[in-house]
Amino acid sequence: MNWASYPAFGDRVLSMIGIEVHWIILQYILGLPLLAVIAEIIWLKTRDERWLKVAKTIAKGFIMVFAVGAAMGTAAEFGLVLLWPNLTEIAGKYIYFPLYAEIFAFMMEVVFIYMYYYGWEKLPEKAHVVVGLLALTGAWFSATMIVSVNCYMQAPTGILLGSYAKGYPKLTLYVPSTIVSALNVTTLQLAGMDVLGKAGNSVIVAMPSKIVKVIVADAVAGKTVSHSVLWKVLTPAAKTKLANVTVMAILDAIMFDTVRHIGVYTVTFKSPVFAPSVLHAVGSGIVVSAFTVMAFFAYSFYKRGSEHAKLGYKYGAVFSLISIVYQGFVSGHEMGVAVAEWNREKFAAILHGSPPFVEKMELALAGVKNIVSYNQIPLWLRPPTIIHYFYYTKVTLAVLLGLSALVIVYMLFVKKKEFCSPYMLILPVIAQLVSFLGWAVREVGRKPWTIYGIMDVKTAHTINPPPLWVDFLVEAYFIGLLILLCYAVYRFLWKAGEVKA
Amino acid sequence: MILEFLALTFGLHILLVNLAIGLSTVIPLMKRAGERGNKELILIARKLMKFYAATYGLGGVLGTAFTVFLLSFYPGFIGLAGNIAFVPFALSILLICLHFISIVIYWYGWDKLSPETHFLAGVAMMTSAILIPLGFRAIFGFLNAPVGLELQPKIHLDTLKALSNPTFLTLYPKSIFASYTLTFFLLSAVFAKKEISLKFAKYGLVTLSITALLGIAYAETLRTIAPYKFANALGFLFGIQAKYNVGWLFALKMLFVTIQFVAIAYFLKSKRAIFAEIAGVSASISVVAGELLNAFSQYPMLIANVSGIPANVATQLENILNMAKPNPLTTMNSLYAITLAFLVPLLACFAFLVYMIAKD
Repeated sequence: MNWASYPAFGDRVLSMIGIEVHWIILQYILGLPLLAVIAEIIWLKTRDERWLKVAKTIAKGFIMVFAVGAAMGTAAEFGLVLLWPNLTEIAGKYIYFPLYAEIFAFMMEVVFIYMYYYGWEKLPEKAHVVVGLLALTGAWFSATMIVSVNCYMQAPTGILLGSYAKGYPKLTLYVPSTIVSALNVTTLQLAGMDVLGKAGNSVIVAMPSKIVKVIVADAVAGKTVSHSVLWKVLTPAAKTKLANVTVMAILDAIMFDTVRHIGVYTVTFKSPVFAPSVLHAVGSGIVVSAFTVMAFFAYSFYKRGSEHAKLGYKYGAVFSLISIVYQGFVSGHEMGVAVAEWNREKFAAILHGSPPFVEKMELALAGVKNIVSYNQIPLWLRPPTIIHYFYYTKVTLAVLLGLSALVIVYMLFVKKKEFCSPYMLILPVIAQLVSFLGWAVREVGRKPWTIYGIMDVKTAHTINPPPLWVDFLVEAYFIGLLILLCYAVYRFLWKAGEVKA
Repeated sequence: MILEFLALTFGLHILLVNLAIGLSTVIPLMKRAGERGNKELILIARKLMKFYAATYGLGGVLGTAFTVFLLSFYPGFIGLAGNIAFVPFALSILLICLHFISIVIYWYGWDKLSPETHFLAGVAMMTSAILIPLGFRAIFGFLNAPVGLELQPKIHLDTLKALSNPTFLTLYPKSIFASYTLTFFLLSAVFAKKEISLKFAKYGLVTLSITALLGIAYAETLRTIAPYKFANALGFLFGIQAKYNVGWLFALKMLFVTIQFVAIAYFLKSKRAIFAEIAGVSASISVVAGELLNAFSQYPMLIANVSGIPANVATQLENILNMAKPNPLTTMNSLYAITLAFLVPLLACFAFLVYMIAKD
């Protein structure tokens, strides 16, 4: 399937660019405070002033980019509201809590990041470290909340996978008995619904996604029951009673009941892909930050030969190697296992067209014996095959990054040679590209769904999309802002040379 | 508690963004004036910019908090707004991005860019700050009366018509002048022992007078096109029955507006700092009271006047535009406890940050 053939291509690209610009920047907020705080702790232990200078330089880096990252986060949030308002409404209604809690995380970031930067000489040394740790906590807390919502979109809590012929994927729903009594259960069972049991006043059912997505689409379109798919499955008595009730009211009753049973505050955290996704997302921020720190100090050492730059370079190199090993062998592996198990269409699209030995290797790594082949997937569930290319480009570049870090650490610590070159500045760019491609596999690979098994792209989309030229203008604007920010960092952090904290 | 949380985040957001609009205007102009030979002005501008660079983020966060609270409590309303209000929201958001990057360039470019380039960055900071509320105020105008709402061929917003909403045309300039009044009076209080304080006080007096006139004009537009809201806010003055009387907020606002006039007059006469401080605090209270009055006088309706909307559509929208019917998953005491557990210490830490910067 062609990636452009899914609905709302222009707005999907705009969202992708807006969120990616935010992601490019915010990864530094996930990683740089960690590097700065550790450098500061080492300074406290050793009293070697070079460590303090390293910590302050890193802190100046993240304080400069934080503001624009936060503004781009606001832009991304409003982008979701304006381009995908029906998704926003559904998320705000049923899985609002992590978005709500993210506000407190965001406040933590804003308060403690600035306190960390402006408090160097004003706070006691140990208190300053604590403030740094709180800033880091805010950033990771924020990432955890947002990623949890994304996890629900990838693999909603209660999703059941099985044979396509038997109507899978299905979603576990708690249907209030008042609604059950209005439904013709036999008709629904013939359409693939399974009754799983009872819980209080609710009946637990496994509802085929094919039905769920139509009900959701009817609900957001503002249809009444008499004009919706529900009409076909109502008992004659219920038809008279519910004809003019909105489908949204019925959906609300079912979803509120479902979320209450699963846990209002925990529903997104129970997504089966939550833990590996958070570990992998935070890991990505650390990898990008570590490679950027390494390249920045290496280039600084190459140009100026200062002692603190040499130390920063070595520090960044060790961090780069450790983080990329963690990202590849620990969180990346866990992520792969979760995708193979819970995003099987995506996994099939990733492997589609791979040589047999690569496919075997991937299956062995993911610990699965058999997978659905791409061609076995029903057309309406197929993700775009472009993610195959995204994925393998990502893996190749990530391996290159890992080897680069290994060689650099070997040269620095084993051969004792301060190997550095201006070409090292390409490493953080590659790290960003790897991160982008990983994210693209995750997001593009979720198509045709916006929330897997619940809401498709067309349903999530605004009824008043902007014209394509507006999309282009806004995309150019975001990219322009990113270039301006890069220039500002170059001009005020790099060219300024010395930190004036 | 829902209304209280909305009021708290919105009130603090408004206070900080009003200050942001004022500081974004004052700082580049003051520095530019200082470059003609007055080093003290440059010094003051730099101190103000340091304060602004450290605190503007929280104003933005509180704005986001308000939006997310609205999304959680009234998701249907945000869904509707998202479907129809692309232009005004997008305009404001793109300007917020420009404003944030211009702050970075202006602050970190201090003494590193040529005076002309630096001033240009300041102009970008000032212009974006003044224009950000344009889109948001257009939305507020729409919430007074849905001018520009078209139902055919599908529900959408005619942006040009929406911008001709009389409540928007008066509310937007009133907001800008109110920002300047607040900033001038606060600066007058902060620098009360310096000569420049008198200038701030005089500027503030002028902008306060203009704000008051625009306030009367805004109230008149409400009387004609959003009578329900007018009755709730000002009905007690005209013997009009109010369904949700928030006249006390109006009275509070007027009390503090009067105090501002009196205090600043005394300050100009006696030059005693206490009067400037009273004017500064009063300006803050009256801005917050005015915004809360404007936001909640249409309670329980999110759109104050729905009389122009056909009955069948109005019925459909009834639930999602009713503030008395929040998302049932958010009406739990545990959620309020969680909110307070985070908000109180975080706001205390923010106060400490402000103190730390101000002490410097």
